[in-house]
Amino acid sequence: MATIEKIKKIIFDNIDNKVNIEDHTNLRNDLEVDSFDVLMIMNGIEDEFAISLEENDFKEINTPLEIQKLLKDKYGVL
Amino acid sequence: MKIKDKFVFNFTDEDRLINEINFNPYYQKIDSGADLYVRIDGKKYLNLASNNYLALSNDKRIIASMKDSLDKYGASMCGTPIACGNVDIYENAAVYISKFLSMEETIFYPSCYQANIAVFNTLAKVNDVIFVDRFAHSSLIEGIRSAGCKIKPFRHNDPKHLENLIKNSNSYENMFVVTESVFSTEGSIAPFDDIYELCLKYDAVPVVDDSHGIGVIGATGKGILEEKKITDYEGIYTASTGKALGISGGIVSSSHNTINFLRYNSSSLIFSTALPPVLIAGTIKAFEIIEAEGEKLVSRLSRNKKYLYEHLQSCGFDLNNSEASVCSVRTGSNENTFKVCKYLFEKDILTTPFIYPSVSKNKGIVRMIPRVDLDTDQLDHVINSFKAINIEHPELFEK
Repeated sequence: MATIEKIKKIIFDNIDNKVNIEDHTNLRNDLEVDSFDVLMIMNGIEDEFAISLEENDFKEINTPLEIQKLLKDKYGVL
Repeated sequence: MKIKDKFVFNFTDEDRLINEINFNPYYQKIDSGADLYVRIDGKKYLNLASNNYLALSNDKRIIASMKDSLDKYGASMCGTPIACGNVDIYENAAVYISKFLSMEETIFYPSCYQANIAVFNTLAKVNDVIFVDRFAHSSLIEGIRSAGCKIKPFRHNDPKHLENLIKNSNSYENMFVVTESVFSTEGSIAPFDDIYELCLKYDAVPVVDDSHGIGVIGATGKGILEEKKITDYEGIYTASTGKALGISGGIVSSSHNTINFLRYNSSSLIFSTALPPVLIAGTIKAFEIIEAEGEKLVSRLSRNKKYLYEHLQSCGFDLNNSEASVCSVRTGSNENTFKVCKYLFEKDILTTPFIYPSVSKNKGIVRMIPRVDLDTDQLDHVINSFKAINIEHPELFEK
């Protein structure tokens, strides 16, 4: 499974709002995630890609595509 | 900007709603106790908003005991427990409550909010990890955040998800697993037997907040440990004495070592004025009443909840799936939730609205605590009021 699909699955698995998640779906505006949702998503990503995210990583991140970019640029996840 | 203008409460969605529907469900000025009926502006309202599950806050035996205590100790010890606030009645109460819960030791905090903050602030360290139910109470979350360690929320009441998270977390010094016993907005009960088993299996410290469980669940009202038949509990137990027990304050029970560690290290205990002895006297009496009459009280409470829940459900109302003594009718939007509270208020019924961010967006509920002293006529009045509101305003309810 491609990285972006893995990211979308992790988001889907960790939120109550079960809607279709696209590459540009905005976590905060479209999915209305709260800080605990974000933590759960971050934990899911850490486990999936065997990395350790920093608390501030997700401050400006809003979409699966942006998460993919962060993982690639900062953590070398292809 | 002038200092006095720095913290003006800005117009929010709630403000707009309050103005629009001309009803503010918050900070109602009540001029009576938390009785079955409360008085507001000289009018009587059936009180389904209070957490006074067992109607103990006005129990004559408790009040008499508190009056005696006032005569003996006065209003306050005016000192912290570590300095000059540790009167004999605290130690007697701690022994009594520990025995009641089958725990080694107990200490008192001014509130369970402070107790929950103290537990994590004092015991958890940066290199630890805390697994916490996604719907845990704000006090637990605030305490956990204050510890500065890794936080891993698990899906609500989902031990399988919890186990997966634990399995992937082997680089931490200590692991804590945190949950409430009864989740008070919806009334679900944590599968704490399964959670506790996982804690024992993976050497994690369980922390359960039994604020809405003590006096309410378990065959004789002893709370979550009795409900889930857990004996020789080795974790940390916290509870409020301001709900079913009818008083005010918080307790932490655990092993002798843990309690002693808190006793000498938790700043919210050491630097707070000790709970007034009068509150401890009331708390002991409340525990004695539950010890003697718990089975009867719990059974009446369950009967009232079942009656209200099943009748509302059979009328087509959508309720949260509640196992404890809480009935929450789903109303969806903030606007619907406030309006249902308003219309119930006009029918002399006081309820509690829960809107975002207390619950997810558009998952608003109107919560009722079907307390022990309600009779069938009063419960029927509530059911008929819902029916009447639904006839006039069917759009206000989730179906």
